[in-house]
Amino acid sequence: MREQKPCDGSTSIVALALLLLMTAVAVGGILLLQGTLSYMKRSMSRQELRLLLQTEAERIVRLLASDPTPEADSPLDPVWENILDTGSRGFKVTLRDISSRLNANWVQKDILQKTALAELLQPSSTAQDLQQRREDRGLTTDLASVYGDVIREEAMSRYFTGYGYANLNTTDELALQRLYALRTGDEAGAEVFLTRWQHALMQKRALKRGDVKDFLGQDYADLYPLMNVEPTFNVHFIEPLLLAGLLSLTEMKIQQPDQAAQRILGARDHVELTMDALRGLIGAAGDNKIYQYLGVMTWFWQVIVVRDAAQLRLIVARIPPEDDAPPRFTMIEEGFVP
Amino acid sequence: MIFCRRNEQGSTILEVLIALVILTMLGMATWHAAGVSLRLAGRLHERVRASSRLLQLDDALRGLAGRVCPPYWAPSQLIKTDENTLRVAYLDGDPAKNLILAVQKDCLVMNDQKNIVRYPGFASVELSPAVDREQREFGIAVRLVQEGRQPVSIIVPIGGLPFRSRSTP
Repeated sequence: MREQKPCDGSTSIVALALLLLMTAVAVGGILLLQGTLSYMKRSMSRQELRLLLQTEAERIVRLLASDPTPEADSPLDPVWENILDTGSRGFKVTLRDISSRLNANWVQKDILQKTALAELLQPSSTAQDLQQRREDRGLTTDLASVYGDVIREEAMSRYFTGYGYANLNTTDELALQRLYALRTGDEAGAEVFLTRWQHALMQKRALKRGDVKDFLGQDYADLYPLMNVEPTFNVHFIEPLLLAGLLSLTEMKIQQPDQAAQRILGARDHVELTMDALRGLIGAAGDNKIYQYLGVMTWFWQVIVVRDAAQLRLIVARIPPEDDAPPRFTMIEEGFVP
Repeated sequence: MIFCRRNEQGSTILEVLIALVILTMLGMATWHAAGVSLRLAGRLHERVRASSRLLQLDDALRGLAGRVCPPYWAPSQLIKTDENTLRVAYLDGDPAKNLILAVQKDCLVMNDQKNIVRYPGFASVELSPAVDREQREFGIAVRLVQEGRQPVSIIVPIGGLPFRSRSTP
């Protein structure tokens, strides 16, 4: 009867081995599940944070759109007061006018040649170099990498931008030609467009709002509002150096441009200027070309929302009003850094 | 005199047989339980792996689409598709650089012109531009079908939008 014992023992060993195997499989499965769940959790919390920041950024844009004085944007608008309160909700919000600067993609040589704004370029560079660089490298929003050796480093982010509409009356002609080609994909048409543009400006001196649709014709849907005749710079947010430089352009024939600049700078801190008020402060005739540059609306805004270490960066553009409809914005860029 | 009861002298054949039957039954039950557990664990493992792979694919796709940064002056029809390929220019803001998604056999292939990553194991993959209610492109839509599982759709926005692609509320 002794020979039964090894048989009992081996069955127990088999059962134990199976149990061990099952335990190992279970532990492996649990570890895998745990890893996947924590990955899912991380991924979901990242998405939730992004959604939270997006919601806050969209709230800011809605505030911009619900401005009670949509014909002008200034630091006195309710959105700015609201931004101060965002800290109490755990957000840090930065709102910035990014179009009231010299647009390296559109700027004409004259502004950098015939005014004190020439000092914004590197000592060894000229306005011709900037134009040539634009021809060589094309349009860009990454100014630092394209114009780093042409524009002074300290001037780059303060006085220059890559965001803004191309005003048909003030944009460099080759830049307009390139923009036409990019939007329509028609290189030959771009040359025809340029000839038509030169002819129109010779005839009219300046295109007005009412002329744009006729002038752009069949290409209107592709080109408007990227090409328009809205004033580029909002005097409420423009840097004083740029304001003085633009007013000092000799072709504008502004009398005492420095004093006009001081009047605008003095007034903008206390009141929201209207176009009429601006004309009064500058003192030039209503059809003066300076009003193609200087206005009271901001076209491109940058909204940065930060919470903990996460950041959402949004760039929105205001669509030029075609009637009395409330302001509308369109999203241009959105970047999220978790 | 030593007095012994019969049942104290050792196991009878009957007792041994009963013990063997019980042990055999226990062994069989354990073996069956182990088999079932292993099959379940295998299935669970496969499901978790598939979900994890989908999540990785989703993350990778979002990362790549976020790198597509067309400037606001770019043409509004940015995404080009043919039968098995979807191509978007302006990867990293460079008009000459493309993000390419392709379907090859059972694989979804993501190509940023530097790295090519393959995600196998799909019965079918459909690639299309993601459009809003006004039919404006704002991203990439991928529909994935895996054997024996519900189809999954992933919609990812691209990092920049040509002018008038999407209006804020």
